[in-house]
Formats: sequence, C-alpha cells, structure tokens
Amino acid sequence: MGIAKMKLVNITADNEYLSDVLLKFVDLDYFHPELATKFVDTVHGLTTLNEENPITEVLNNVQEVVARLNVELPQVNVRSRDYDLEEITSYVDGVDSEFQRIDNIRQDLKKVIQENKDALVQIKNIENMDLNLDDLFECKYTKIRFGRLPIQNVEKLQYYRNRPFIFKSFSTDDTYSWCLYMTTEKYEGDVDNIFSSLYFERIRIPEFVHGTPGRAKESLQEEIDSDLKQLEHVEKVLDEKKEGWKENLAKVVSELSFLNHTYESYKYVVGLGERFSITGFVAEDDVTKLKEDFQELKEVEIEVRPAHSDKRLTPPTKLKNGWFARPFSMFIEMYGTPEYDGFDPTPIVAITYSVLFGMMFGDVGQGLCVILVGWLASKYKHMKLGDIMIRIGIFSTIFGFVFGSVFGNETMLNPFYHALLGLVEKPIEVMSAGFILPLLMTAVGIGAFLNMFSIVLNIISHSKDENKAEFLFSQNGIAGFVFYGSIVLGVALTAMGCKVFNIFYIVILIVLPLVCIFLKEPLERKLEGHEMFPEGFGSFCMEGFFELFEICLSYITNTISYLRVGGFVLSHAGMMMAVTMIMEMAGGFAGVIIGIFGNILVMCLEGLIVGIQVLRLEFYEMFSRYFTGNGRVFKTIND
Amino acid sequence: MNRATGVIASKARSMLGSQLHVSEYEELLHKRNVAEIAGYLKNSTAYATALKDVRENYIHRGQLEDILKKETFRKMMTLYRYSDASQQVYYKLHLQKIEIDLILSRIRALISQSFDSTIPDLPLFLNPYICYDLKKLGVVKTFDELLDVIEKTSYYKVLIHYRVKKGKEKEIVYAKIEHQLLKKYFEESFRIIDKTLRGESRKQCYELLASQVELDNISKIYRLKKYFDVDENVIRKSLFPVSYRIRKAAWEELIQCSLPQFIEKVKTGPYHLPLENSEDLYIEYFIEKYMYKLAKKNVYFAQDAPTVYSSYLILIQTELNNIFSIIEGVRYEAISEDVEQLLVY
Repeated sequence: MGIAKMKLVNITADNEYLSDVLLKFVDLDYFHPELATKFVDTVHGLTTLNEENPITEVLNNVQEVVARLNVELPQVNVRSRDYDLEEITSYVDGVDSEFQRIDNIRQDLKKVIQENKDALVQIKNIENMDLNLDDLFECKYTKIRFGRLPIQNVEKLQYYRNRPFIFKSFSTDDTYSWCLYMTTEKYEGDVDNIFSSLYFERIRIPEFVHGTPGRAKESLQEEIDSDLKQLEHVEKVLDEKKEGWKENLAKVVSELSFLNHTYESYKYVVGLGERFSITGFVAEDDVTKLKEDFQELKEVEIEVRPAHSDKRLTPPTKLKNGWFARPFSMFIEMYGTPEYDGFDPTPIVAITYSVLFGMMFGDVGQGLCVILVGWLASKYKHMKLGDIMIRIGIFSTIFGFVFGSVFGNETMLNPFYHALLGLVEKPIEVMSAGFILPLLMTAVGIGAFLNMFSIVLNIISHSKDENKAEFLFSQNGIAGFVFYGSIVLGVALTAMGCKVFNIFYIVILIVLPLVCIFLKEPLERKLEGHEMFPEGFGSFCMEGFFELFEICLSYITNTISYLRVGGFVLSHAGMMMAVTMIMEMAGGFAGVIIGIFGNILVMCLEGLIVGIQVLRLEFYEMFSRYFTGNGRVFKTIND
Repeated sequence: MNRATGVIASKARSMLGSQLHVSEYEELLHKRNVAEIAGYLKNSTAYATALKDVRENYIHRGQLEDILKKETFRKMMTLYRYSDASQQVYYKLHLQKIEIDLILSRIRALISQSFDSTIPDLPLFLNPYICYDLKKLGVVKTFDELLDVIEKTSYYKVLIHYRVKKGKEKEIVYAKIEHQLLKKYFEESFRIIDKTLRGESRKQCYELLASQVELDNISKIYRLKKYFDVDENVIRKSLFPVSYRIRKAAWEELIQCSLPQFIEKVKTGPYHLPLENSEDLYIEYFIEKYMYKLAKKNVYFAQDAPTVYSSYLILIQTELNNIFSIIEGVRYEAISEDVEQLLVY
C-alpha cells in the first residue's frame, strides 16, 4: 500500500519504426510520458517532431456533423494505419449535405403546418359567421387582415382611433390577441404600416381555402393532416438514413480519434538524428508488461533505469492501495498529490474518515442504507463516492450498534444487548444528561490524539531531510510534539488526580520546546551556517511573538475543533428523537410515512453535513500538519 | 438583518444564477440575425418563459427588445415586492428615473414633431407603477398638454419654467430640461438615502449613486471636450454638483486641462479607469464596467437589502444593454469581435 515504485524507461528505435511504436504507445495505460521539450532544451542536437496535425480539423468537422444529426454513435474500435483523409472528408460532406437537404424539407413542412394551424385558429374564430371567404377576400375596396397582435399593443390602438380601420379581437392567450383589422384600399398602406409598427403578425389564409368558414375549417384541417403525414414520412426517411449512417460515422470518428491521438503523442518524441526516443515512467511491476507489449518489435530498445537517475525529471506519484483505502484517494487528489519520496496518506484518511463519520452518523439502519445507496451508485453510476459510502456506511452501522440506534429507535437493540452482553438496556444513552460531558471530552481527546498523530507523521516524513530544522524545531516537529504532547498528557493526568505540572515539567517539556519553536528560523539559519538574526533581534522578536501566538492559538483551535464530533453525535440523536416523537404523535400509517421521510431527510441532511465536516477535519486539522501535496500526478497519455 | 434584507438578498443572489454566462454571450455573438438571437434566448437561456409564445422567424427587433425590457422590469418588481415598508421610498427611486426618461422621450418627440414612431416603444405595462398617466402622455402633442399630464407631480415645477407655446416646440431647451430633471432626481435620491437609510446601508447606497453621478460627469467632460470643444463654463454648468471621490478642486482641474491630460488624470484618479489615449476611445464602456464590478461585489457581499437591490438593478440593466448591443450589431452587420468589445460582463 502507498506509492508505487517507479522506473525510468527509455524507448528508442530508428525513425522508420516511429509509426509502429506510436501505434503501441498510445494504448499504454501504465506509462507516464515526459514531454520532449524537457530534453531538447537542455541538450544540443536533439529535436522535437513539429508536424502539423491535419486530423484535428477534420475530426472537429465530423463531430459537428454528428451533433447536427443528433445521433448516438455505437462504440467501435477502428485503428488503421492506411487511411485516405480526402475520402473520409468527402464521405462526411456527402452525409452532411444529404442531411441538410432532408432537414430543409422538414423545416419547410413544419413552417407550412404552423401557418395552416394559425390560419385554422383564425377560421375557428369566425366559424359561426354566415359568409363566404372567397367573397371576403375578393373585395376590391375593402382589405382584411387576419393575424395576431401582442396584447400590450392592443391598448396602443387607441392612439390611432382617428385612422380608417376597424379592429376586432377574437381571443387572447398569455401574449397575443388573435384578431383581424379591415381598412379600405386607399388607406391599405398606411394602416398596414401602423399595425406593422405594433408588431402585428399577419396570418395568411391559404389560397386553397374556399367557401364558408365551416368548409374552410375542414379543408385546412385536411391539409394540416396531410402535411403532418408527410412530415412523419420525412422524419421516418431521415431516421432511416441516420441509422444507415451511424455505423460508418462511428468508424470514421473512431479512426480519426485514434489518428488524432497518435499525432498528439508526437510531443513526447525526441529526435536523435536517425533515431528517436520516448522517455517516461512506469511502475516497477509494469516493466515486464511493457517489454512484453513491445516484444514483436525487435528493433525497439527499451532501457530501464532507477526513478531518480535523470535529475531533470521528478518521478510522478501513482497511488497503490488496498480495497478499503482505494476510493479515498479521491479526497487526497482534491488536496494535492503526495510527493514520490513522501508517503501516501490514503490509508490514514480511509481509517480516520470512516471512524469519525461512523461516530457522527451512528445508526444501524441508516448505516445500512448508506451502504446500499453507495453500492448502487458504485455499480450503476461508477461513482467513487459510492465506494466511499460503502465503507463509511459499515462504520456507521458499527457505531449504530454502540449507540443502540436503528432508524432512530433507541430500544430495538435492547434484546440484543441483553442476549449478548447480559445488559438490561443499551450501554450508551446518547441523549442522557450524564453522557454529554464524557462525549465532548472524548471528542476533544480524539482531537488531541489525532493532532499528535499528525505531528508524528510529519516528523517521520521529514526525518530523512538534509535540513533538520523542520524535523526538530517546527510546531509539527519534535519540539511541537513535546510541547503539545506534554500539555495534553499533563491535563489528562491532572484530571485523573495526578499533579504533574511542576517547575521541571513546565520548563523542560513546555517552555523549552516553545522556545525552540520560537527560534526555529534562526536555528535553521544557524544550521546552514548563516547569521541567526540578519534583520536584528528586536525585529525578529516582534514578528516571532505574533507568529508564536498564532501557533499556540492553532494548537487550541485544532483541538477544540474536534468538539464537533461530539456535537454531531448529539445532533444526529436529537434529530432522530424529534422524528420519533412526531411519528408517535401522528400514529398509525401517518406515523410510518413520517418515519420514512424523516429518516430520509436526516440521512441526506446529516449525511452531507457530516461528510463535509469530517473532510474539513481531515484537510484543515490533519493535512495542514503533515501533508503538502506537492507531488506530480501519474498521467498516462490517455489521461 | 431584518426579514426584507434576508429575502431580497437571497432572491437577488439566486436570480443572479440565471444571468447570461460568458459561453452564452459567445453563442449570441455568433448568431446571424434577430430570429437566431430570439431562438437562442428562447430555447437556451432564462428568457425562455418570457419568449415562450414568440415565433422566432417572425419576431421584429423592436418587439424582442420590448419583451426583454418587460422581463427586466418584472425581475425588478419581484424584488421590490419584498421591500421593507419604511424604506419603500428608496426602492421607488428607480421608478422615478423611468418617469423622467419617459418625459424626456416625449419632449424629444415634441421637438421632432414625430409622434407615431414613439407609440410602439411606449411601455404601457409601466402605467400602474408611475405617478402620471402614461396613456395620456402618449397623446401629448404640445408642451401645454405635457404640463397637464404631469400637473400633479413634482416634475411640473421643473418643466413650467421651460414652457413653450404651441407651434414653438423647436425652441424647447432640451439640454436644460434634462439637466434640471436629472439634477432634481439626484438631489432627491441623496436626500432619501440620508433620511431613510442608516449605517452601512446608507454608506453603500450613497457610494453607488455618487459613483454613478461622478462617472457620468467624467463621461460628459470627455464628450464635450472631444466632440464639441466647448468653453469651460459650458462644461461646468452641465455637470451635476457631486463631490464624492473627486474633490471640487480636482473637478476644476479636469474641466480646465487638455484632453490627453484629462485621460491621464482619470486613469490615475480615484476610479482608475484603464483608459487609452486613442481616437476611438469609448469611455462609457469603462464606466459601465466599473459600475458592473461594484454592483456585482455588492450583490454578493452586502448585508442590507437596499444595496443589494440597487446593485442587482445595475446588473440586469447591464445584461439588457449587452443583448441590445448584440442585436444592434447583427442589424448593422458588425463584426462579432467588435461587438464583443462593447459587452460588459
């Protein structure tokens, strides 16, 4: 468990084998390549491959066409070295133009259908009128316009009351008034202009509409039905075409993506005259696999060296953890990447996160629900958070047994305690007055323990540093551990009746480490052979005093911060108690419903808050003491 | 924090989530006509509800702008509804500005004697909210008729001094009327802020308004120097007498100096506007950008409702101006990169 050991690998061959090597290279999901520029910049005579990538534009074009077609392409895997870019482009252009042609027909049909529907609305408005539409539209001296006018502009017609038109509104919806206006031939232009300025949308009654409004309604409806059938047919044709195109387009996209990927890998290739090389890191366990993958290419040389053998390169960090800890690497990655020579905090986070979450969310039933939801999320949505939920759910269940809570019911497990432990009822009653203080003190105790543990981790990680200042004198080093640990131990022993705070204890174990912390920077300079106080002792004291004050304050706040663990134990129990009370008050079926929704609400609300709070404790209280996250991520070419 | 603050602040911040993003502006900039712009706003942005009944292919530019203005007003009223009764006189200040703009619009119509073209733009939906009858304003054709419409309002006392007889509308001194109305508005606003608001609320609202006025003054000085080359006294009289960040002496320097010196002083002055001394400098862009940033900061961090409210109005108005710039750009077939430089977000 921890950080995978790396090897520095160099793949070298003659230029004629470049395509063969790249074909294999792009598939390697365990190889972290290094950019060619890192070598070319430092060694004379080396070159990079600067060929322009002709594939990207074609691929983007194809993807735009696929987006316009709105189809989901099947997954295919095509990777051929023999390709004709012109043929591909020509095929895709052909598909696009055929699609546009059919789509234009579809859009035109939709437009006509909409126009006819609008006309139908107008005809329906006058369907009770006993008149002939042909007579209406053949009027020589009277002009009639059907259409719709924005409602807010109907009011504005009052400003034109002295103009020669008649306006009639038939019906209104939220935004428009469906209406007509009539004017004479002489004033047609003027009145049309007025209505146009008020955003009147004219709806033309089609020429094929004749006779009475009733008859017109029928012909319009027939036309609309016919157009709809035609539209259906066009859409069916389009769907069939799309089905036909899918397979080939999928192959085209796959091939172009592969070729694009291959071109993008050129940036890792270093030119050595008639030869080329690709350098990168591989986990020690994968070296054999790499050699096997390139076995068929006899002309390719693979050189394997220790990870630190090239000072220009920093080995990347690849985390390797067991089943339990692996999903928690998501949290580590949020904060930063461990250094290659550092250590992997994932197992520590896995355990502390699970325990703290379990304590703050202790309920057997809810814990099992968290496991179930986590399993479903992991299996069907492939969410890493789902895997984390399974693990923290286990601990919630365990602590649920400790606190004796099953979906908020505090008595259901009493027979279990009686049978197993011989107790009348559960050993811990969270909401009892006598438990609160011990709970909070336990929380603070956990905080003190975790703080000291974090300091120990920091000491271990810096123990091999050349500069010993961080190891010895920092607030997270030996001095800090002695100072903090002495105070914690002293307080604990005093609480148990053992008085340890005498002059020797205070001076040696508290004051002396504090002085070391205060003088950390001067001592560091001393160890490096420089002047201790280059800016004067007075100036250093001023700054140092406030920094020391801040350090001491941070010890206190980091410890008290863990009170929230106790707080959330109480709040979880309190919320479930409230749900249970409401359930009992409602009684019967209503009570069951309240119980279900109450539990769901508490699980979601408390689960989210507790998850965030524990993460905060991990990041702020613990990581700030021992983890910097300055490492490089292990990234394969596919990442 | 009283209840009004909590509601208005929360609502404003959540409504801010539906503002147009950078990616949406980029999409709009690539639209080729008003129909495409309307279609995009209808199908892909928070304007979907306002535009739901619109047929993109038939919509007119003016109609689209009308709908967007109405939607902006609706957002404003959504917040106004929750205002504290004791501070409502402050919240109504924005409506006063609208009232003045409408009166000025009518005066411009009187001068040009072009009345029909003003009717489509008349926002009758505002009628229930303003202090005079907007419908009657729409039929005003003489200065006396205008005075009759606003007789019972405070604007009457301002306009009566500039009365012209029927037939002499071209003699209307528009610039003076505008100056006096806006001066009255600003004086009234400062008075209301002093009287109605307290503490941090008063300080921040004062800052918003005073900054706006000072920046308007800066813009005015720039334009008068660059395009009209007028006398210092004319510049002095056209400014609103506010000294918030810029002291009186500094204003005098700005009025008296040359144009390049003016740009330099504004650059290094309290507002630090990053102006460039170029021929096609569009100073209003930098002013709008400054106010936008100030407003955005206030919406997120201010603790009082009046500041959040006023700041939110600046943001939604800026968004509206951006959309109008894009529509104008499409109308005049401007290059999208040129239009993009006018947008403030």
